[in-house]
Amino acid sequence: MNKNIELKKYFGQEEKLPEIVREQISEEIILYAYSDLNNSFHFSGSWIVVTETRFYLVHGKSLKLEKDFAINKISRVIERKSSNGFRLKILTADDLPPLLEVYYTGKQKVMMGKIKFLLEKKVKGENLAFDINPDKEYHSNALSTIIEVQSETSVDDKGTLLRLLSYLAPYKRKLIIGTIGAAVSTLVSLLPAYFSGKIIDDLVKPYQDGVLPVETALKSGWVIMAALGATFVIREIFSWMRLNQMSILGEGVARDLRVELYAHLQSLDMDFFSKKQTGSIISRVSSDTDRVWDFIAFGVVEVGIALITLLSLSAVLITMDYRLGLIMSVPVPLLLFSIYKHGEKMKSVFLKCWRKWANLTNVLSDTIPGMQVVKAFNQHDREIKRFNGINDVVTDQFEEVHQIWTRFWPGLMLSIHLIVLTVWCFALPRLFESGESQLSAGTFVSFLLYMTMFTAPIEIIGQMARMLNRALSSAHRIFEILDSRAKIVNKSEALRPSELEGRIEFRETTFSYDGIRPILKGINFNIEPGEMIGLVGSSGGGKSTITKLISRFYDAQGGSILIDGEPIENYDVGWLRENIGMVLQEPFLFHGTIWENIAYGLPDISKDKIIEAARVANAHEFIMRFQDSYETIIGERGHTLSGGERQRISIARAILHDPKILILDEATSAVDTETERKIQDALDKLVKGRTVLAVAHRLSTLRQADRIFVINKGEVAEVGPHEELLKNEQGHYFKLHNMQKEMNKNFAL
Amino acid sequence: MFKEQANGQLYFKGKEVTLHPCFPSQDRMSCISILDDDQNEVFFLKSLNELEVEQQEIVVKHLYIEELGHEITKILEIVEEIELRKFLVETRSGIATFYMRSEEWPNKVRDDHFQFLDIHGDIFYIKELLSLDTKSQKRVSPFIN
Ligand SMILES: Nc1ncnc2c1ncn2[C@@H]1O[C@H](COP(=O)(O)OP(=O)(O)OP(=O)(O)O)[C@@H](O)[C@H]1O
Ligand SMILES: [Mg+2]
Repeated sequence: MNKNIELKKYFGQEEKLPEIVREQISEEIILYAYSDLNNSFHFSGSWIVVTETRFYLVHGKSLKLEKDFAINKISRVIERKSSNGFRLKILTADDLPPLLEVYYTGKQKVMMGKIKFLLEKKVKGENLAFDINPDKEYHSNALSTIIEVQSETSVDDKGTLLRLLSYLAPYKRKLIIGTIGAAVSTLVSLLPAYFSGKIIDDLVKPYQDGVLPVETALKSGWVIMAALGATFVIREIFSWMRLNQMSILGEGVARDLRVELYAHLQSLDMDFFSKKQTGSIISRVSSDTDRVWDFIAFGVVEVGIALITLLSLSAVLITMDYRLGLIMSVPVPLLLFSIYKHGEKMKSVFLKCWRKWANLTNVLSDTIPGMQVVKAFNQHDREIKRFNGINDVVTDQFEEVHQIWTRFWPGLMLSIHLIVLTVWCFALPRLFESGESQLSAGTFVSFLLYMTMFTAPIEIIGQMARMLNRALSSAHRIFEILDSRAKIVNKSEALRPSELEGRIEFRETTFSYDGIRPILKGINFNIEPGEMIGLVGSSGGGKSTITKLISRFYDAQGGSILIDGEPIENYDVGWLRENIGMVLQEPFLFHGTIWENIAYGLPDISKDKIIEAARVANAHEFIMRFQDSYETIIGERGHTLSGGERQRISIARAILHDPKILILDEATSAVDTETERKIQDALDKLVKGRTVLAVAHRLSTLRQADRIFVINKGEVAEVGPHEELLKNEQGHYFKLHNMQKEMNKNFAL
Repeated sequence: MFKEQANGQLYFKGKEVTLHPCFPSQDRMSCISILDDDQNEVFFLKSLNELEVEQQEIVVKHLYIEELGHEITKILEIVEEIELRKFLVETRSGIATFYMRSEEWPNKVRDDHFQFLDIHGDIFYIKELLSLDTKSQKRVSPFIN
């Protein structure tokens, strides 16, 4: 959690419980929360604080204690939602009014949920299984939603920009060449106008005045022409230098960012991926890095060139003739400002366009995958009408955009022309004057040419703000991922023994995904190498969680997990996972051929090993029925296969890796009996010589198991072989077994 | 049938219940599912008219029909932040800040009535756009027109 994100900035709420409140409470504070509504749902504030034995309500402004009572008076805590907010009702006896009602907005809901949880535990006479830090809880829970949508890093544009520029460091040479290219080509661009003036003042005029003979004039003229030609060539050579070096450099930076991002993503915990949307992560690696490329390759330089051009133009003009120069340069800031204003206006109109455009694409992404439904219900006329309606709305909105910009740019050009005209007006009389203030025809021509060069840079600078904003937000989104840190990392001397035996031990293991609601409440068991263990129990009991802890996708908060007698944290994470095979309930296959999927992670494995594994998994038969056998391409996520087929491929994958510990999470759910039998056979072959943990809802799957663990509400409720568990007629297992027998009987009818 | 207990909880035939309208924002008054503590439906109320007046009053009170969210009376500021849009508003219940995702927009409920759903689930609304002052209208216009 980053401390820089301020509650005050986001919600206007204190960063933590004020000291004055703490001083009024003698006991240690376990948790506290902020209630931001009063009982008529008006925005206000008060603090609620829970200690070991008491509950306090403190006024948010005066920080005076308003109410406090002993927690043992509480009988129940209820949360109710309405449109204006939430209310937490703290009840005592049924025939008495509530002890207290607390009102709050959704911002406080997560924290209040924890308060409610804590109070409920206390009502039951229990305590939290682990220590928590009330300040940290309060801060991170209030901001959890913002952090989820936004970022973990604080928003600091300058920092982000500097950091982005630091990626240029490995490309110093290219950067220097590119910058020189840009600078030279810009400065050289100023020469042609100068030469034109020279021709008139130094050659044409003296010749017309009869001072210069025609031969000399022509000769000098050709020299100047040659110089002019040379400038053009030089300019384009340097311009090539700049474009070439900068676009390659930009590509390099984008590549570096992608490499770093992807590698970093691989190192992050499952926790990170369950919080972020896949689409958002993908767009950071793809389109955000592309935007950064655009900005570095062109944006930075274009703007730089535009600034250099404007400044040098003004300088040249003012030195050539300070009066005319000033007339031309002084209004420039004004023009820039009007462009900025225009940009702001366009921003808000573009926002409307974007919104309406999104509607249009939504219709598409809705109906095209759902075409079958559209056809089945014969709704194409309705869909066409809907699409056309939205299309018209979009078109109207874009028309507004075009109205605005088509009006603005000619207007801007007109102002520039007016400035030019003003320059003309001042210049014209001076062309015919004599003495000090006389203006030479050559200077005037140079001036005219220079003035045409003013528009382009102004335009580019006008777009700078938008470009910078886009690039910064992309950079920020990229850095956000780079700044997320994995919690599960190897110790400095991580163990990589040559072999894993497969002994697993849980000792008083406690675990919670969110740090408050316990999922595993002190689990104890011992699994010997080679044992097959069945995990059964009601849904949400924590079976999958146990398997995730064994492969260390998460770390337990309390107690310990030992693998071969050694704490799990001491092993190298990669080594551990190599030795643990997992067949997940929703097996994930990648786009590619069947054999690539089976051989995932073992590129050098021999073909016959793959086939053997497929045979063991009972997959060989159906694979051979495909046109391209093992080379059949299975679509994204293996969607061209049936659920049972996918499962068998992933079993084959697990077999091929020959893991010492095998975890099967509902490997036989959602398939027909025939397929179940086949998978079953595959599993029977598979379990030999390994430690196996199989999660199953159908108890019949577990007939092979040496022992069965019944997991109920985060605890191991029963342990033993099938027959033994059945002897306890009060037990969960007995009930489960009977229920399933009943069901089977009904189906048999 | 319905009864309010001294502790403020709603009871139906002696069982503590909660009311869950099937269409919470469109029509709170009909199609109400009455759930007990374990979220089992104990009764389904198609229309309030099925009840006696006295009973209706109790139900209406627990449906919170009078609440539609916080009514916005003035839009003070709209700020674009990374991935978020921050709204600083004045409401009938005081000054408030709320956030929407950058790619989410207010809902047009009726002609002139707009609903803003904050990322935390809080509801804000503009009852009549045209009754807001011009500055507020101008500020909010890109997001609703
Ligand atoms: N990533 C997660 N973040 C937060 N809570 C989670 C997460 N995964 C699971 N849970 C919660 O943990 C509890 C235990 O989940 P788990 O998947 O271990 O159950 P299970 O015993 O495997 O259930 P089932 O038989 O339905 O698969 C559930 O209440 C679930 O809501
Ligand atoms: Mg599970």
